[in-house]
Amino acid sequence: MNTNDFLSIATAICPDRDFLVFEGQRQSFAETNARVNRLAHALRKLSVQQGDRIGMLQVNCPQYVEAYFAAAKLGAIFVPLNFRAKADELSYMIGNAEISVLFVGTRYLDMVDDMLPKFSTVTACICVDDKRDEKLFYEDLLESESPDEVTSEIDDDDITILMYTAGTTGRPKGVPLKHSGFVSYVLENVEPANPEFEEGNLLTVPLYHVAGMQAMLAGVYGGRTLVLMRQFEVKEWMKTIQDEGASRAMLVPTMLKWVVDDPDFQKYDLSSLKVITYGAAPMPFEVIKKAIQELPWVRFINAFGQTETASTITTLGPEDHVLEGTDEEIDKKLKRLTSSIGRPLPDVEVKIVDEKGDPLPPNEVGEILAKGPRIMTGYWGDEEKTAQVITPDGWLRTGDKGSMDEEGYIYLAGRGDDMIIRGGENISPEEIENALHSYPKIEEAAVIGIPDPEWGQEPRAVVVLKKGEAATAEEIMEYCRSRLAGFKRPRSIIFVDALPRNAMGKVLKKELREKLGN
Amino acid sequence: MANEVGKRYVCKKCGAEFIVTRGGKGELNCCGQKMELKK
Repeated sequence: MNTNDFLSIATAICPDRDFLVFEGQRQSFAETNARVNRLAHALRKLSVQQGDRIGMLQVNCPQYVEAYFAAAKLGAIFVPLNFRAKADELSYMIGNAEISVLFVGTRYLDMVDDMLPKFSTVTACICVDDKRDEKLFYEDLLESESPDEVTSEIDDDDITILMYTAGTTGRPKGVPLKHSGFVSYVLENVEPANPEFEEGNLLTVPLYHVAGMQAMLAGVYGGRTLVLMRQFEVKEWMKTIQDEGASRAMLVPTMLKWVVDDPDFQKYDLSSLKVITYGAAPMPFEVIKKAIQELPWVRFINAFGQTETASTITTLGPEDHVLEGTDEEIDKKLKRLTSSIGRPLPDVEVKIVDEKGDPLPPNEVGEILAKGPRIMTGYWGDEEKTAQVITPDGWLRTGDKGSMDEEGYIYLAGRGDDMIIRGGENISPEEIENALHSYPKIEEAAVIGIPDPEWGQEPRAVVVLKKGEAATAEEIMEYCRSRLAGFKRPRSIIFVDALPRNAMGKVLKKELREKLGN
Repeated sequence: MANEVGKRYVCKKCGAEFIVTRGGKGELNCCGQKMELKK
């Protein structure tokens, strides 16, 4: 089975159901499948062959999904490109992937045109959303082609997506993701399309991110209506949930915070929402606590994963977000909400190991490793980096620190490279950040380690105060004294207007260390 | 038994599961016995 089967199964079961909804336009599964076939025929005429790389540089839109499946039908490899990437980063990815056909949104054309001459591999550049002189136009390509099915000989272990991840460290790394990885995920975790059950899924996470792609593919297999938003905007998100009656959404923590903090939050009818999945960055406890209070009918799922694991490998499920039960049960759930990423999904193995790679007993902090059909086999063209993260027996070193309790719940203790080591003791920045986030005057905070001649490193807190609030470093450190063990308290506080974040809302600690780490 | 589009059938013997993408009048059998409709 491969990802093409997701679309063909859903198209067979519910052909006339709305599949893609975007800015007032609606197209069914059958209509989308026909368009995908037309595009695949067009790409074939442009000499696209199995294994060729097809790039997409555009915000979320129906053409994004169509282009993915057209590439998949040909056995080509789809390369979603971060539309927020700077020119040199984009240039690197296009060159590294050796892209042959590039789909581009009009707003990015000028940047792409400047760099295209240096890429001999790019044989065609297709404008996605607007006609431009001398450029191929997406809709023109479709118009002249047949909707007849396109088939190719595809092996389940063929690569379907080449996705670039910078994570929060270093230059982009190409992660090849196989059909079999996504198949494994949906077969274990997603109910297939059902002619008697419909639901809408609001997709705001960018499709260049693995969480966006996973949500899209799960949505296709599940016969869900995907309501696409170009980019997240909080009021538009709430209005779309209300107008479309969407029952599912995926948000990064920053987006969820904006929703529950929005002054107009109560004005929108969000009662159709049944499931909110969040992830891609650590969730501050105060944010999820408020979200549970403000949206008590919603089932929340914390999904943890990486590009290298073809997205979600562990989940903290809805039952762990319901703060009911005995005092002991509630305490346990509160602890899990604070820092647990839940338990591994059925098709994934996870273990915690020490520096030598030996498994650790419950509750001891070490590196989180993962194994299973969804784990990448290695970085694109980078054996050296691959050897750093894939062990000889096929385990992926996630780079995240954590522990596992007796019930199999995993608790994050930060990125290995973010861990602060003070006098030989590990300090998790997340623990300090959680304490800071509970202080009423603080909007958000990030903690980094700074060099110290006596202790090796000391924790430094970088703090954004709430609007209209004023606070001193001393009062914040005094608050931390009441919440944290002595060696964990921040030794300095720096106030900033905003924390640097990537497009998914993850704080860029490397940048903080560079600017404020001395 | 008519096999309806979207219905899933499971073999009680070996656990195999089928989803119907095109309905028909015939019966689905596996391991020498009729498959059951998955609820």
